[in-house]
Amino acid sequence: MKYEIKKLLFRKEVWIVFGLSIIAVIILNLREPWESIDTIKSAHQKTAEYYYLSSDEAEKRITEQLEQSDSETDINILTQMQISARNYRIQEENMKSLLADMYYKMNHVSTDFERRDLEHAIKQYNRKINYRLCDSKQLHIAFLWLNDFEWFHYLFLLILCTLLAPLFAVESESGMYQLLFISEKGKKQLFQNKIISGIFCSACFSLCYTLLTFVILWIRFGLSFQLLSAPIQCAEYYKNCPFSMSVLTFLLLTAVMRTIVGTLITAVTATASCYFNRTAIVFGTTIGISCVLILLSRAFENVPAIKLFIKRLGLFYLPILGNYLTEYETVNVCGYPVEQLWLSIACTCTIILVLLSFAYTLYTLPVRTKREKVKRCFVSMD
Amino acid sequence: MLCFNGLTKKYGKFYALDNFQAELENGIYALLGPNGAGKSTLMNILVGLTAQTSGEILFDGKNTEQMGEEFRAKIGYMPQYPGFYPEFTAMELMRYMADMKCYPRKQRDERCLTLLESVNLTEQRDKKIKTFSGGMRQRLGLAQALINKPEILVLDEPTAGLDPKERVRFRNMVRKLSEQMTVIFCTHIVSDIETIAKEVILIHHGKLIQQGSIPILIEGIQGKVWELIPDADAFEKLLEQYPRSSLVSRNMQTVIRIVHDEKPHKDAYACEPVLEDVYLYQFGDDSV
Repeated sequence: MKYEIKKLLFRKEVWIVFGLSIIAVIILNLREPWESIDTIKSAHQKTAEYYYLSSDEAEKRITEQLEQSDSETDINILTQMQISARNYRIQEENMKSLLADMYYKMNHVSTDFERRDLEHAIKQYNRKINYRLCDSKQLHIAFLWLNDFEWFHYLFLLILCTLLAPLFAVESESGMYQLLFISEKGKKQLFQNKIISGIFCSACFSLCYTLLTFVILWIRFGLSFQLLSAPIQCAEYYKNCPFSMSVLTFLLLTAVMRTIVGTLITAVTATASCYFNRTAIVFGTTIGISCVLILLSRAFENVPAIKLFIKRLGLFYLPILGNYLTEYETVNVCGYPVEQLWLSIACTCTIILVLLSFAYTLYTLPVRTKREKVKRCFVSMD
Repeated sequence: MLCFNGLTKKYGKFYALDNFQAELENGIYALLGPNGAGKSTLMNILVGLTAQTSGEILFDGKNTEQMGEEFRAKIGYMPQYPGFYPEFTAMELMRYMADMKCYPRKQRDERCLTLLESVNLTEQRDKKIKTFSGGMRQRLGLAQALINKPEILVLDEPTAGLDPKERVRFRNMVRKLSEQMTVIFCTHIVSDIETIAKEVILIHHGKLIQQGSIPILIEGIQGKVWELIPDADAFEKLLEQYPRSSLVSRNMQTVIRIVHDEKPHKDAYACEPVLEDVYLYQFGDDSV
């Protein structure tokens, strides 16, 4: 397996894309003026004084101070605090009305599934969160900032496609297939080694990418590392998250989801490589499929049924874990409510298995021409 | 023993191999034929890169397709243009191939070093393959083919790109190896065949034309090889008239060597045939 990893990593294209990505991330970070970040940080530190007041009282006190302030800096800070308090109030009101809705429905449901679904949801929402840290709002801003930049996730896909494109094509391009296919281990072992190394590289890269993203956030927003053990609901953006998880769990789960997407790209690469012998064409195929899926999800954003279908498939939605944490959605599976997240993971894993099986069958057949490959594949399936 | 029984490979209506039949034992066998004769197709089918349309290959009475991994363990193959990973060093590639061929880990490094030494690549073992010349790549290709001590060694143009000294070294190595294995190699360099091949297999249009030792093949065209020193203006005409001919320089004179069933010219005289004449006799109409 170490040889497969060497073949993937020791290529100049990977390092060029990686280097350009680092530059892009740095430029993005420099784009936002540090002063506004400092202002936000100061604002949130000041709100610690009002934590034990209700949102109404906090907002009222901040408004009074704002009217009395003269300096521009103070006005900026207090404006931020006012907005933050107002958002908190709205969210609290929403949460109360959401819970009230659920209790009402509980008394009027007709099916067992609906009852179980609602009981589960109410249990999640009623979880008491007593975690109070003065920089939990910074965590909220940090997550907001991250989710605003979807291209972080597209960059992840681009780098992964570049990394995995030569996984199978390198043998055809270099001519090594003549030696490897006839070796004692043969095509089957070679295929297994490649898939395992593809998954391993995806996992390592996913973990590094996720950690790097959050290290940047931590440095940028001056967050404390104690927040790693805080519940994810500390960030207002995820206040309604129905899952019980800490920030650290969130990071690890993001890395896992990205690894699953990496495995999907490995499977797509394996299938494409059965038809195309060039790294560039395989890369184009995986990028092309990714773009089509992303464009489809954008095009049908206003068609809830199709958007939901694409989301349930998982595929390239999975790297953005936030998609699944801000809304509580379940699907009826044999009468039991299953959260959207697990369904998406299951769908993606099923697609991976189907693609890998197809690719394995094609790859291990001793034929030369593409037409013969496809014909033999269906004959052997019979 | 290796047997090819009715081996056929068809691409649409074109027969790359047409009912090819041959039996090979230990020793060195040379495949000789013009371009497109079916030599590479035969080799690819033997090593398992391509599947035949019909027919079978038997090794010691067992079908090689059914043997699968067991047969692949006995094969060593050196392709015509060996492709390697450019970022690997020679030693890394040898180790990788040894792992793929399931060579025992404990003896792997020693085996790799021994083979690199035998092909004169010891000093270059830690250099990247992308810095290698064509000849060095050929030698590395031969070394990796021998890692698993194969019983059947298949070499496609093994001496292409080697200088005369390396060619002699290669011949000596292969001659020594052939005592324990079957070596099949295809080449256009007749001198390589003359010096080491036990038997020559002539192949054309996918069919076996003739198989036999070099003396027997030469015996078959005895009395059909002529030499002639023509007038200066008759050269072109003779070359056109007799396509199975070649020009030879002898004693500061240019002599036409013609392979023909009958005496081509009143001034022509019979001479001793060589292997190249056998090639011209069988394939001269197509290959010239």
